[in-house]
Amino acid sequence: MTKRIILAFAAALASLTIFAQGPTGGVKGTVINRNGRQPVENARLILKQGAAEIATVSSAQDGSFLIPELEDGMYTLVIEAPEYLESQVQVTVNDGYVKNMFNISLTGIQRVTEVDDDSFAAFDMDDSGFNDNPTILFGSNDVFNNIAGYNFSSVRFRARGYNSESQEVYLAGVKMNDAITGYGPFSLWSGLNEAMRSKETVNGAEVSDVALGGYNGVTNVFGTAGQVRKGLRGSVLTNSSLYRLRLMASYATGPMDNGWAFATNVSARLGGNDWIDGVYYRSFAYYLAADKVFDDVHTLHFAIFGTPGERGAQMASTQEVYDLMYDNMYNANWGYQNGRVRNARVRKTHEPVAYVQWDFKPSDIFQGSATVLYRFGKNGYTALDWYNAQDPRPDYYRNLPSYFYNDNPDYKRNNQAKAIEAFKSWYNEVPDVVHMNWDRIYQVNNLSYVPNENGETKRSKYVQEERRTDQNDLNFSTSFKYRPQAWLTVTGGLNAKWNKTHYYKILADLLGGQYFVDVDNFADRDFASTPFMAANDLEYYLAHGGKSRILHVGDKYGYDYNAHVHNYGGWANGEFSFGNLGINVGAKLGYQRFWREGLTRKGLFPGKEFTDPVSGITVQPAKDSKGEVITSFGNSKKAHFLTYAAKLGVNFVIGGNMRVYGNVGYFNDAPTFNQVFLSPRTRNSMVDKLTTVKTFASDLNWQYSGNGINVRATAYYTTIKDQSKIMSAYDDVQNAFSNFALSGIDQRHVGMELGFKIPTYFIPNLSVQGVVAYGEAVYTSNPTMVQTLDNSASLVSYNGSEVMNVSFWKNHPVYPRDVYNNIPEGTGLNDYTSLKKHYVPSTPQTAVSLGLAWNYNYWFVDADVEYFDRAYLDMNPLYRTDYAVMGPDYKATPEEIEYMATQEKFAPAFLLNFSVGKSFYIQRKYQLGFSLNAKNILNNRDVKTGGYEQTRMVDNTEGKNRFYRFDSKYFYMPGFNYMLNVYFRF
Amino acid sequence: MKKFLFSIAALAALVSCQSLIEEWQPVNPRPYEEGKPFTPVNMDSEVNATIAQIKALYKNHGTPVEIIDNLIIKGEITTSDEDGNVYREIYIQDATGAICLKLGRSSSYDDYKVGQILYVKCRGLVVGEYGYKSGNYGGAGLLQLGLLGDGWQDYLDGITDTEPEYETSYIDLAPIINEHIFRGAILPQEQRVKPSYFTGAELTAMKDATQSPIVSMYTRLDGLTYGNSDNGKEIFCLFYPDPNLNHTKYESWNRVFLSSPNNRAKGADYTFGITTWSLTKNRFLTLAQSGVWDDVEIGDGSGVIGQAYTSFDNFGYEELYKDVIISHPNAQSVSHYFMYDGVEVQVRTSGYARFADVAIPEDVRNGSKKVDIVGILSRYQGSAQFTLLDVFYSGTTNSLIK
Repeated sequence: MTKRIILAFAAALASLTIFAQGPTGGVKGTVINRNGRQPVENARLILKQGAAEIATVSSAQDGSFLIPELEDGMYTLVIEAPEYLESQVQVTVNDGYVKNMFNISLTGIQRVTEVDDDSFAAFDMDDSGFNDNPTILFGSNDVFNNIAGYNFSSVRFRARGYNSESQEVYLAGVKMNDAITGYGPFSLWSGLNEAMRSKETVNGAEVSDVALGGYNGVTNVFGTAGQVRKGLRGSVLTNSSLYRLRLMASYATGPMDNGWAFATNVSARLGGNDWIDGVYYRSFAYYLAADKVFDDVHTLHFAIFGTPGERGAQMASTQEVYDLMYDNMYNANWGYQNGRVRNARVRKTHEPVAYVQWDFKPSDIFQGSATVLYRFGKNGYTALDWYNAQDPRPDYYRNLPSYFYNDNPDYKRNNQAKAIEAFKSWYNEVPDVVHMNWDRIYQVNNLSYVPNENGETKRSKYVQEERRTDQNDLNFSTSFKYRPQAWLTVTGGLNAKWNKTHYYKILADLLGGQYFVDVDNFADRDFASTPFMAANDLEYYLAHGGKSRILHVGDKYGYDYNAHVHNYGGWANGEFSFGNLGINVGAKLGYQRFWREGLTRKGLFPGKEFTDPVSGITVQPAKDSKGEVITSFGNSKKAHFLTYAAKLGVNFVIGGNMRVYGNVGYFNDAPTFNQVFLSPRTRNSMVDKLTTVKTFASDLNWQYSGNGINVRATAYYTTIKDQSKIMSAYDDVQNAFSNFALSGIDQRHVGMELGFKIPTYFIPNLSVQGVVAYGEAVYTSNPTMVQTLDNSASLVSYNGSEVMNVSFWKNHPVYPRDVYNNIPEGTGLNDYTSLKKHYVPSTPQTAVSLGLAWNYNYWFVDADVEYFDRAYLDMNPLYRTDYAVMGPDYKATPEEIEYMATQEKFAPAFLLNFSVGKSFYIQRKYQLGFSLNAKNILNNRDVKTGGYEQTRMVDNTEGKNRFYRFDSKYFYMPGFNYMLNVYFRF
Repeated sequence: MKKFLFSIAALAALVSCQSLIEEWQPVNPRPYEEGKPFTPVNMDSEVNATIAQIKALYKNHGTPVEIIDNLIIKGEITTSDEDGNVYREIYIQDATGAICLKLGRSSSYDDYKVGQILYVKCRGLVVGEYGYKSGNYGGAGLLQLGLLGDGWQDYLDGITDTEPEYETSYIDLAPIINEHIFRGAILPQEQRVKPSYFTGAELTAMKDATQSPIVSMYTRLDGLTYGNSDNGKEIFCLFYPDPNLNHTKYESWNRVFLSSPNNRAKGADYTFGITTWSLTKNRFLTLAQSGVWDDVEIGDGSGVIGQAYTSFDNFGYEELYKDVIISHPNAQSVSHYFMYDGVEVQVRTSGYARFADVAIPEDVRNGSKKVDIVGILSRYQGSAQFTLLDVFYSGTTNSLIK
């Protein structure tokens, strides 16, 4: 009996000892590549119990891993690795033993290359008032984004129709979207594919570990030295639609025994392409990074990178020009200078980014990270500027046949002879006519004779300017992840951004002249007898007895101001796990303010009283309609916004491989700087009635991942209200550079997404893959618009009203047709048969891809067919106003309404793509591989990928009772193109 | 490794193909060389006609003449559009006369310099007349050299258009300009054409002389006094209350004349508050708002600006004329009347001229000082018009507009 008691006591003690040591169970194994069974290093293994995350480890160099100290139970092990499809396996830990999973194989992703900024040609929107900001879809762990991101990039597909500003992009935990415009920052690291390869992405309204995010996903690029693939790698690539040659090299030590890890990545992208003349790259990239692991708790990451270089831009033209050139890829930006190709529009950038990130992990249940990141440098864009000279663009509308003849006599263009002559010169591709005539520009400047006080005589009439947008962007961001209980994970963070963006322009090239003068061209034309009004720098003018500054190469001129943006915010998210059910609730709060700081005082808007030294006139400052002084100099009022958002997500796991989840969110976001200031080049004035953008977003998803099958189906519904927009363009009606401020733009986005990859089973290693995106992104409001001119303090008035209703923005009426002419019948304006919706533009709202993917022994072959439809042209608000549809006679007719308000729908397109690749191991040490990606094999050259309506109207008609549109401008997708990448790794 | 090297070599060979060189040109960081310098042409040996001969081809009012012979003329450019008072046209002159060349390009002074020799291959161009009016109150207009006006039969190409409006049209299109017009040397200052002087009698005599050699000549008139022959002050300005609507002579409800009445009073002031050489958009707006035009009659005699309302039938809306004018401000040309050698001369200035807003000095307007003017002697409906290029206090060299 005593023995039994002693034994029981001893056993109890032993069990207590065991208890005191914690659980002894665990999971271990080796991650390998399914094709070839090589170990996969740095795979991320996430162990879950229900929806709760229990542990996360990475595989070692030999692919091995160990997750210790697990209690008995059933777990789900999720394995992620760059370039591999995500995999999940179920594992049960019994009796405190470490479960050996042995080999866990991953299937490689067959994408030839990742999508990045280089996947998109730089569209030059000229001074159209429109912007081009493609969205880049990432997500190697999401079957939809993985396929759509690459296959749909050629038509600039935007997921769910959302604009690119809503896609949040982070680097090392810091939000990198442009502070002024909100645009994606991908150009900051284009060409650094190796260094920036590691990233994590969440879709839609899901919550990321680094941010609560918005409604269009979050991508966090890690960018740390330890994330760069170990070893030396080099690649040579040629891309027939962008640049001829890319050379890239990277080297990474991986984590070393001393705790350090170093990595570097350099590249050069050079040359032109097969499709768009004048578009070229001379871009370089560098990346240097180091990690230091001090102990299990503290790790520091350092990195600096930049992409110095330049790239020539492509300009949109009208269909008439493309037809004349028999080439939809025609680019009006370039011409021959002494026989050498020169592009007038070149983007020149070097914006280094440097950051320090501190990772802090004091325990298994808490980890935190803090980053200080600084972005600086220059961002320039050249363009031609001219003073009192002809528009030098070859496709200027007065140079085209349509300017001289139109079948419709109402245009009053009835000179066929001139039209034929114009046609001949375009048809014969006379270089001086169809390309930029640099020789003439130099001759004009050379023949100019306007002596100045420096003894110079050649005042340039044409110059090349460089518009600079130089950012100083300092960021602080911190985030944490805390798991106090197995069923609760709390994430959160704080962030701050101080951005000062310097807008100015410099004289880049005098083009054969000796000097230029700092005057406002438009004001100089309109107020020639009062030259102080044309002074871009009034203080200089006053200090120099009424003379404007004489300019030479490198001098600042034109406009000069700072945009200040300060953002502060915090967020928190709680993730609750109850068995297979997971719920997350999150919210964020922010404060944003911004203002303009004028660095020069313009003569048009001096903001103070002064006496003109030339005329002796005392000038009073201009005032706005509220009686407030309008000034170009000093600090503007500050715009303040309180922002907030809340999210709720529910996630239910069914049987281990299947997941149903949904998210809802409400977002109250501030407008961006460029949506608030009416004419920041000239003055401090802001839009009246500033308000925040209100977004409600929801999605419901079903996902299956297992047995080699990957499927995601999503339904979404989003409303966006109270958006504003400012477009700046030259207005022929007003004969001035003009700004159109739109307020109250509402949108609704409804639709579904499906992505799948399914093994065929009957043919080994062959899978069927595809995506379907079908949505309806429409405008749901008719905004209001006010128009200002750069050289006038007054708002532009139409029919006595300064606030115009854009009455046909969200839709337009469709009237009964005249059966003979197929034009709307002249019935009453209210006798329409239906209302035609207007769509969010520049992305296909139907996008389908279906293909086959085959992998075997380091070979991969992909073949996809794609179908795109329901893409629409960006709309010009002026055409949708009452003023435009009524015409000069102030009488709207059904025909005028339909003609002016209709939104152009692009024709549907079929594409066929094919990819093949293979890598070879040499002596088990080196890897040599290639990938060849052929796009648009059917050589379809009629696929419109974007464009815009010109903000111009034909108003001098014969009948004087209606307006006509100017032709729209378009961008097209290149025909057959390929990308060949050869790489070597060891 | 061999495969790798082979791939690299193949790629290098590919990218260095001769056909791809153009793609690499912008990549080369060396600066661009200066563009080709301007090289003047000399076609003296080909010149076979004079300006007077070209003008002489025009025989009958209303019948433009298309030149079908290979005539080449040579002339010196006498005008510049830099100041904006000459627009889309240049005037050339030789020893036999001068003619207006309807070039059709804005800012043409960048390419066509005052004092530069021009050679014009006239085959395919048209001599036409602008501003002819028959009857006692009319007279000859201005002969111009351009392309056939829209709507006329083109005998060379057999193209027929619709109804003609103007006898000539602008050449306009760079390829056609390059086909007809050739730029020669720019003469040194001392070799350039000097302004001609004419008497009042000569100005009167050109009323019906269609081919008058003095019309379009670079001219200087000295000692002009501000005012008309009735010792009054007078301007002429025609504007359209709603310029977006039709405003031909058939739509007189959309026309306003700032001018003297047919029975103008002696010594009266018909300047309507206009004290500048012409009206910029802003000056126009200021005067319209000031009320100084409130008593001016509408073109159809239906009332005065400050009281009459537009009719819905004509305009599509009913609004006070004054308000309509204020909401459609535009730059306007103005002719000021001066007396020269006993003859009225209208000095015309465009509202887009750089000196449009420059005030005519008070001592000129009140007649206490005279002026000398330099410009192009023009003609409209038989009357002498002067396109101002420069103006001075009489006997001085101080420009009043530059």
